Amino acid sequence: MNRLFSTRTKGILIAALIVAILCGVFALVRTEAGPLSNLINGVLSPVRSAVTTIAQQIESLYNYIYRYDLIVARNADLTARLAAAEEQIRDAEAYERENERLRDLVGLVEQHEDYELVDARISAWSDSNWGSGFRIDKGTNQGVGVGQCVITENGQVVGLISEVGLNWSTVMTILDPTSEIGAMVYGSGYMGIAQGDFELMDEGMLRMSYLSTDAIIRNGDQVLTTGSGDFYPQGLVIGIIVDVALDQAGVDKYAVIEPAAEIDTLEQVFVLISYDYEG
Amino acid sequence: MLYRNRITIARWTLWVLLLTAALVLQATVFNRLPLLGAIPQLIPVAVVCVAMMGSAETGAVVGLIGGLMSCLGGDALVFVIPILAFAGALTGGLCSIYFTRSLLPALLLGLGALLLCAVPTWLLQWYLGHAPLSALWHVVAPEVLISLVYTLPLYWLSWRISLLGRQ
Repeated sequence: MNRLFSTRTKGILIAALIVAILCGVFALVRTEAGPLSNLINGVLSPVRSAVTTIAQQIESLYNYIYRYDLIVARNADLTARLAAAEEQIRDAEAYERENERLRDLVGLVEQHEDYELVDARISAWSDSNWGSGFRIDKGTNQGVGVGQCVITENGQVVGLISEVGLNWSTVMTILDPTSEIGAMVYGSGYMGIAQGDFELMDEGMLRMSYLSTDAIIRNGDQVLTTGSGDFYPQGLVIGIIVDVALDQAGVDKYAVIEPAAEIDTLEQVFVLISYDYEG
Repeated sequence: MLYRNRITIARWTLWVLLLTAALVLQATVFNRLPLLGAIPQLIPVAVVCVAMMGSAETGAVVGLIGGLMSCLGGDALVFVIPILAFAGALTGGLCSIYFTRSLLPALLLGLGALLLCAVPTWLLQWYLGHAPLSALWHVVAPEVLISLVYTLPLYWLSWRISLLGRQ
């Protein structure tokens, strides 16, 4: 080992170990990102956003070509003018979608006057194979904080802010294996915990655990937040039940939930920065 | 002397940019197109490729930078910092003494670095009850294999950067 590593190299390795310990301790004692994390992410955040935008453009171009090929197969004399018109329609559809989202948001805010929301765009998706999350382009500068709930314009639960920087935040989605939400089956009132599951994460599903064995639950039942704990207000839609089974021990019943929010295709989300706990 | 310093600074800047590009691509493009169901981890491979071009000391510093970037800028866990610093130092040291600098050692050492990062992460996730043991096959194995595919472009880029000022 002495032949491989000089004293200086060993010094760098010890420094790396100390840095790792400091990062770990820092992450445990502080909820907000540290200055180094803010520096790295502050620089990377606009780069990530730009590359994501380019990647989305390429992805949409690819989808466009694929769709265009299908249309050509069906109709050989499709003209370039039509393609241009389609592009305009796509742009219009994008505006319409955004418009719809904002209109839905107005509806949501009218229903819940106590909700104070910050809209955010997704700048990057998690690069981990062990969890589910994404970064958004809003941070402490806009009032975003750790533990705040992230929803869609329709009030569907997306996840929770797990880390926050000045102009960026990390969202842990409800699919993440560490995510847990107090949940209730709408109508029947059965309570349980909606939690992320590693096996179901890839399928875009989560599970509702701790249901009693005699609970009568049907596929299609809607699951809402109970409002227990400080993170999620009561009555937000988590998803619908698509399967019910007994756990391995045969004691507890669990249900598989399909999230109401289409997490994989999200472009814009809303951070619930404050709400009336009583409401 | 001034010229040599400038070349060294330019080389290090380009290596750090290479690591940054790897991190950004991993977090923006490759995570949306997971091959075999896994997102490739480019930083360990990039660290090994860059470390191969220098000494153990170079490798340790590159590993430390790569570890910090993937931990603070990406989603890696903190223990990846000393692991990558060690992997970089070992790569630099081994390449200076035993290996010739070529693609095959890059692949072997890249495999080692990827396993050093992925296996403890898997064990931790399993210990915490967040992932099953079978994740070794359906997450760690594809992640390592897919990541190794990127050794060729990363090795080539690192090698081109190392030639700066030598031509």
